[in-house]
Amino acid sequence: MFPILGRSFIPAVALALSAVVVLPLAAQSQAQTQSQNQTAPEMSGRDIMDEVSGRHDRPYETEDQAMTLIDDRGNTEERSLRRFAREVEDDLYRYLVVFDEPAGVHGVALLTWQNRGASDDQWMYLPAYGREMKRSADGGKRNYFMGTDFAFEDMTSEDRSKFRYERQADEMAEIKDENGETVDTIDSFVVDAYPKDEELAAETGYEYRRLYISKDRYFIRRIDFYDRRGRYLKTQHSRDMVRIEGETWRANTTLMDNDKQRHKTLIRVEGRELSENAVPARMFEQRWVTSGRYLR
Amino acid sequence: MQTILTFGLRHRWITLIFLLLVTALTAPGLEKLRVDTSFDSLISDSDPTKVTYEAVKREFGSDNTTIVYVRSDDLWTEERLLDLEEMHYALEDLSFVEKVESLFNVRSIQDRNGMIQSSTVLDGVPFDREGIEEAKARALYSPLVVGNFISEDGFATAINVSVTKDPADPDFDRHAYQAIEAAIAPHAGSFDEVFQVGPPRVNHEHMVNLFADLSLLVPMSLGLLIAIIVLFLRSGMATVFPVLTSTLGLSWAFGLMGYLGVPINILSAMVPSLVIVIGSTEDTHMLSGYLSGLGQDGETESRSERRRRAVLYMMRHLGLPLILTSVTTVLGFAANGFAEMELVRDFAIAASLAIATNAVVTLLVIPLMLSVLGPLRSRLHDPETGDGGGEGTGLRGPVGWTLVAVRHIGTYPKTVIGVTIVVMAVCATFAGQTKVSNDPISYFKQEHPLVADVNTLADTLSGMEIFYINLVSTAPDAFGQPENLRKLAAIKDYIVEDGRFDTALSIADHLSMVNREFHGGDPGMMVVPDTPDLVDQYLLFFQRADLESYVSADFRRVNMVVRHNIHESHALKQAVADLESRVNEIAGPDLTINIVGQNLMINNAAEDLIFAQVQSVGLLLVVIFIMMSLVYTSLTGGLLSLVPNVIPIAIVFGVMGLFDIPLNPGTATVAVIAIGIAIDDTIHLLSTYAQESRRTPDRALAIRRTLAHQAIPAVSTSIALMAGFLVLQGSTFAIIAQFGLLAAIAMIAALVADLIVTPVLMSFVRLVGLDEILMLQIDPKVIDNSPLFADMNRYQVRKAILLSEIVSFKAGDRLVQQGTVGRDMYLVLSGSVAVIKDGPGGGTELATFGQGEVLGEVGFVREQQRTANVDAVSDGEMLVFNAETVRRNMRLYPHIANKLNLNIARILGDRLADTSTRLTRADIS
Repeated sequence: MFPILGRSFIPAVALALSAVVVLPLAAQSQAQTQSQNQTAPEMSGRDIMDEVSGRHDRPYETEDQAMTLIDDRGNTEERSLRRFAREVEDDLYRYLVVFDEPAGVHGVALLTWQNRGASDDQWMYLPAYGREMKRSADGGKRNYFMGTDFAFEDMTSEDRSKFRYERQADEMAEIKDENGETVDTIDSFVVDAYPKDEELAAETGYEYRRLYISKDRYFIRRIDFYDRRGRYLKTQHSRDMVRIEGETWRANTTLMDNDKQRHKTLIRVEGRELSENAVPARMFEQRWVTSGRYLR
Repeated sequence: MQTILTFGLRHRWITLIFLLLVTALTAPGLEKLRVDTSFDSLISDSDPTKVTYEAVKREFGSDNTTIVYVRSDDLWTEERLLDLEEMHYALEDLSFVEKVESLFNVRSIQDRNGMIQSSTVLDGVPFDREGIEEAKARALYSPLVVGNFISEDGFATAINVSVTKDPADPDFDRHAYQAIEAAIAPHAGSFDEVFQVGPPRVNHEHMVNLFADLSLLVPMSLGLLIAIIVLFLRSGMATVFPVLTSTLGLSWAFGLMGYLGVPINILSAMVPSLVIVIGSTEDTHMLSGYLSGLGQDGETESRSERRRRAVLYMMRHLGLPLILTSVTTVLGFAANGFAEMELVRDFAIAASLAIATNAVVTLLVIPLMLSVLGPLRSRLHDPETGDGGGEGTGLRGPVGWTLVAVRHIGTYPKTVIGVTIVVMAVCATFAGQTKVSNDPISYFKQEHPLVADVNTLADTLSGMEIFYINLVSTAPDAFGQPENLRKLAAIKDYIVEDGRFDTALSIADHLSMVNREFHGGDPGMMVVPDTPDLVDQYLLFFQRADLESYVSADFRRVNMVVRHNIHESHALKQAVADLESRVNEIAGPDLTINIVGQNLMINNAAEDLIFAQVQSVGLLLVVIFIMMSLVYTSLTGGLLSLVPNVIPIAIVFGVMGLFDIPLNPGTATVAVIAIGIAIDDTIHLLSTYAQESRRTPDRALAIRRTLAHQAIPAVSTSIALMAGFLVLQGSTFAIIAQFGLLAAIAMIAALVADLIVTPVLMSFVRLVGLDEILMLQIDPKVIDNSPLFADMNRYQVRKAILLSEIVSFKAGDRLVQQGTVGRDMYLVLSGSVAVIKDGPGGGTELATFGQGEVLGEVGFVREQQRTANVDAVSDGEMLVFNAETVRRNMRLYPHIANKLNLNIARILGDRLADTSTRLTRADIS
């Protein structure tokens, strides 16, 4: 059904694994170079964010995700879904998310196009409703994604030119798991990201986000979200780090702990691929979905 | 008994020290006294839905929801919306708040030219006019929002604040009210109207008005009381005692309540007024007795001796009735202590405790004070007209006039009984129409701002009251299935069609709304989706938080939230019963139905009110009957004492039925309290009547004297009580005002019953008291030797004797006239009499009878002419047994009657034998 992913999945994992095994020395030396060339205290917030982007952003990516929704009484709901991303222009991506399980939502798809200087375009496909894709009205950036604790804006790439990054004092950031236990303490740069673009400020659900970036890998390990009124809302914790290639890392487990809604969303990445073949351009067209080719 | 009663008089220092000591010990308890206005106290402990309610509340959230109502003609402007948003977040910041729902977080899913828009109604405050208009249109478009969060005209909105009660804070609701008020206050001024309604506000208003009541009603009761006492007893001194005794009594009682952890609630707020009025009746009785005692003593003694004698007279005459009345009044209140409702129970404890402490204080303080400071001259008793035995009343002023009227009415006994029966029948008919109510909003008078706010909310949005329809299935994902969701929709259709409830929301509404919008907003598609998959897929539009009030995580349980503004218990009960039967029909056998809510449990407790009421009234009547039957060793006496108590109850219930006054926690206590107070006068009346009956064989005279004695205390206390209860009209609470009105009516009814009906009934019955029996001094030799009492024990003898009348005679008196018809039998107690037969040649003395001998027995047995005269030879006394009286009264004592008849037969037999012997001897000679 979905031959490209099927073919390329294993090599991708193999690549990721080999990267972990073969490249640590190289990465370490590069990190040292970085910190020697430009010592941390002199780096601005924006500098750090550029470094993050430079190291970890990839133009093509797929993920197989196991998602668990956890309410405050410990009730859980399991889903499995696939996520595809393709960069079409500089920092402009298209995304396709496909639900595989549970059976009731099998085949639900969500297609998102980022636009330069305009709101995202988004289409939704509910197989039980019919063959047509429903377009979402704009303004949905800060809406939660399909009952999770991730807003749409949490799951798409951000245009760094539209944010003001304010560096804060470094901190040891605690990374917690879904039971609230600290599983990691990371020596981090701390950067507050404020929207500076007026239009963005009107759309986003946050006054600012506080980003905790690990000093060793320039990876965003934790994000504290503050709502439009500056009140603490939720925290995203990333753990189970894997090196994909070179200095590029991924977290295999991401937890969004929504304090306000007393709800958590846990995503475990069970497979990942970064090759262009895995996300051909035609995949991000409505026809791909309505024709049923997105199902595997 | 007298030893106890006169203790205060005999040991004045010990009494004083005791009083001071108890006051000092109980005073610190006042600090601990708590006020309870919580809704929990209105719920019956044994409510069968309580456990389910708690479980539903845990799963689907608290129904303790405060609704902040906001209205402004400029609501849809950026400034107002910013204020509204501030209010929303300020409320969210409160620590006890579980959830805040408003236009800012309630979900809207809407088709917009074929595109689906899913967002909150107000996703923050829009920046421009266009955005605001869009948001307004969104609000007015959503069926989940209109009526719940926005009025149909779009100018009124609501912020719903669900709170979690802090179990450690007994004053939680009030604190919540204040915190919510503080949170909305900074922005309230920007709107035309802002108020909160909900359990915290209701509790707060109860509390505030409770203290307003206390500070208004207590001084009013006191003032009235003093005025009435001065009017009736004409003694300025007399006003000090009730004030002193009730202050001390209340301070003891409230102190004890503080130690015992019994809180004051809206019912026990009237305890101070009650104690002042009820307690003062005792004081009035006592003072009246003291003043009578003064009148009896000579003017020659020293002041302290005169006071001492008057106090002794007072305690001798009033001691027993005082204790009896205190016990019955305390019992009257305590009877409610078995109620299922905490509110009524706490009131029962508070009232009985206060009456009891007041009685103890009264018994100790009044004799003590009177013996030191008592007035020495009564302005009440008119020396010209004697003791009231004659035609004059012996009384001046309004009481005298009342007495004249009462006596006049008493001359038409049949009319009195007839009218009483008719009134009773009419009241019984209307009493059947009495309705029950236990709604916290209905406790307030209609013009109270809270009631106005509640109605404003209900008129523009939906009623404040909330309950849940909870459906449970055992099948997995049961409510992901369209057929079960359609049942929810059918229930909602019924509710909308029925119209008695305002709104109902369930998960079916959420899914129907998405379905409608996926079909271009077609109103015809406002239906539950067709397939389980579509249900699952539509559900992706919602956060768990959007749905957690409506469906469990496993979709086996759903919850429909119903709002209404029904504040009449019977109407609500009926509407819920109808709903329940319809829901059961729709749900079918596979689903379990629970209709629960705090609001419904409070309503259900109304039934317990009736039960508690019937139970207390019944218990009290039984206690009174048993006690009075024992005191007067007569079931008739017991029954008689019930009459003046039953009449006011019947009238009270009749008035309630007639004027549509509901049976609520306030009015429910009237019957019991009315008995407790009315029995007071009855006991005094009957006990005086018994005393008078010992002094005279003439019942009419005994009744006249009884009324003359009792008129002052009965009339004055009844009017004082009535006035005291009418003071409660000033209460902000409708239930207390209603209580006051009904209790006042009960007092007047009891007075009429005591002064008019009871005397009429008394005239048919001869009452004697057990204590009087024991005090009755008859030479034991008479009893031992008289053939009339042969083989009878002491009790039987006394019982028999007490059916007779004691008649004194002087030497030369003709006691029986030959040739007349008489049905009396005589037993000579002292002195001697001679039987003299008139003949043509003058009288022939046939026999002389002395102590213990019986004569007139033939006439007693059979009506016939007396065959001889009986003349007194010396001064003496005899018992007169009237055949008819004995026959009537002995029906209840067949054993005594048998023995008495046997002995009379023996006497007759002996006399026959004697006559035969004499005849034989005459023949022989």
